[in-house]
Amino acid sequence: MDIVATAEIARIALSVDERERLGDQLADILRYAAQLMAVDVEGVEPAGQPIGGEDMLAFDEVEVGFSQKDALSNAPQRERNFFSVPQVLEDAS
Amino acid sequence: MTDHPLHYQSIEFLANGLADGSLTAVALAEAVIGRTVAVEPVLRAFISRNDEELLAEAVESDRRRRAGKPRSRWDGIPIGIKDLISVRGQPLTNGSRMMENYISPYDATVIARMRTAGMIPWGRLNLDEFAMGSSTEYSAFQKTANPWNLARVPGGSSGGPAAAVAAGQVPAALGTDTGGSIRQPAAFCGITGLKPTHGRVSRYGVTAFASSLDQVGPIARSVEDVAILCSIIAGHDGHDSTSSRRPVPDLLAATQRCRSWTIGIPAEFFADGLNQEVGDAVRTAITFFEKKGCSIQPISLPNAPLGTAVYFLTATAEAFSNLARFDGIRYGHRSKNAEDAVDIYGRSRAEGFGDEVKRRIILGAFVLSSGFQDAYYSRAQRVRTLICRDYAAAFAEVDLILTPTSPTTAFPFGARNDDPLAMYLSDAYTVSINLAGLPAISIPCGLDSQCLPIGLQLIGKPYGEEELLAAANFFQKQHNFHLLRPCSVEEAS
Repeated sequence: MDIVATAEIARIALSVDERERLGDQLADILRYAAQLMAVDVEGVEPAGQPIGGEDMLAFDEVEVGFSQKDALSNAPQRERNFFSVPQVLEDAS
Repeated sequence: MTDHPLHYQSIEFLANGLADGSLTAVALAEAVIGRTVAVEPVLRAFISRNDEELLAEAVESDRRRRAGKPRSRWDGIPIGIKDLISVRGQPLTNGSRMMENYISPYDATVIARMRTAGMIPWGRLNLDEFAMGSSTEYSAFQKTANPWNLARVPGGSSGGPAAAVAAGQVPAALGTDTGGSIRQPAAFCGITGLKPTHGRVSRYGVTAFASSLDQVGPIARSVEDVAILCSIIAGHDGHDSTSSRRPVPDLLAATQRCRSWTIGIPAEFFADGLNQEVGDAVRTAITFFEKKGCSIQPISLPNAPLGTAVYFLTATAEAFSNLARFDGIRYGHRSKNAEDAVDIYGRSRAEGFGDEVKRRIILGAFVLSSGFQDAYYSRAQRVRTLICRDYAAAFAEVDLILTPTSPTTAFPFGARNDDPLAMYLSDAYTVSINLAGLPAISIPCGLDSQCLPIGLQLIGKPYGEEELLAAANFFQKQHNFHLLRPCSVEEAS
């Protein structure tokens, strides 16, 4: 496993020390999981959900949801009624 | 039961006291707070508590009752809450620095239902970070001790709820179970824990870890108390599209039924790795059921031992997806060191998540990544189908399946911390049940030579909670294991 590339996909900035430690531990876990390679799954459908799962549809009804105040109540940074983040696009100049 | 102190009484006993006026909700609240103040310094089961709110709600409950309008028989009973379940106005740390300062803006459906019955959600109980772990040692805040032996873990991830229930800090608690997180700590702490069928209880307002496996369930000191709490929280919820529309039966009434069950004993759960004393206690329980007229039938679940491998490829893939929401933008920790908007993600997650959460998210990213998905995630889902088929075939022959809950009793702090794989194997007997979505219960069935509780697990058919609770209660009514109280915490308090 390429730990640097995978951590990048997962958006977790790992330290050099963490790369080594977690990399070794993940290699161990993948070695353990390799026992599944020996199982004959020819023609077996993947499960994805447990048995007894039922498909549910919701009624198309409007409900009262969060107020803007509630939705913003845990924002790490806000400006007026918006979540605020550092500038994403560069100034046109 | 009348000679037990108030903090160890059953929900039924407390409800009767509240009904006949010999007990008030305020007196009960004061009793659990007093008990908690006494034992919490050695147990550390609570991440935070809202004692003032509990007392204020108890005053309201007593007022309703005096006016002849209790919301239900259970009005005024305090219930401890795993810190993964939203309670409006209270913290929701998930055991993580990532959510240290978050306050829930709404009630989870299970909490709303408890409130409708007058039950009072109290405290935020400790857990492994984002419910990822089997010892509660992965909490970012504190290690919770096992009330039976303060040098040992309470199990996990619902270690806080299990320890608090076992030590009499709360009559019952709500936990969650993704791979054994209710049943294994219940076994380690000598109490009763139910993982309902996947779909039986709404997960709305509960932090998602692995959605095809997660289920909310009750933890209490008896099967009857577990049944009471499950009846209250179960049922369809429009906010959770995976919750079933099946009607919820009267589960407390179900506990009183009794018949000659056919009980399957899977050889794979009694093989290498099972501690001998645990095996002996569970075999004694099997003999008990046989003597009482049940038919004991050896069965095979040949793919169940692959459960741990399938579980890790499944749960981590789903965790990778579910925990993407913790990005430092709308809530949770935001790094002060980010250089630009995108940098916020990587640094906030690096600073906010602990090792185990990072391990699982990165593993999930890997097993879903192009080039590896077929070999890992998709293959795991195919083996999952084989595991589901094993259970379906077994349940064509038997009513219930009986196994140990965990291969060992509670282990010492630090014993499995540096070896994630060893920690994962703590759940070897519980994970395959989540993969199949079945209901299962852990009840105490003995103590080992070190005075540590042993749990047995009964597994039921989909939506078979009634049979499960009936058989578990039948065993419990004729044994006193659930009435044994943890020695260590009594000496320390």
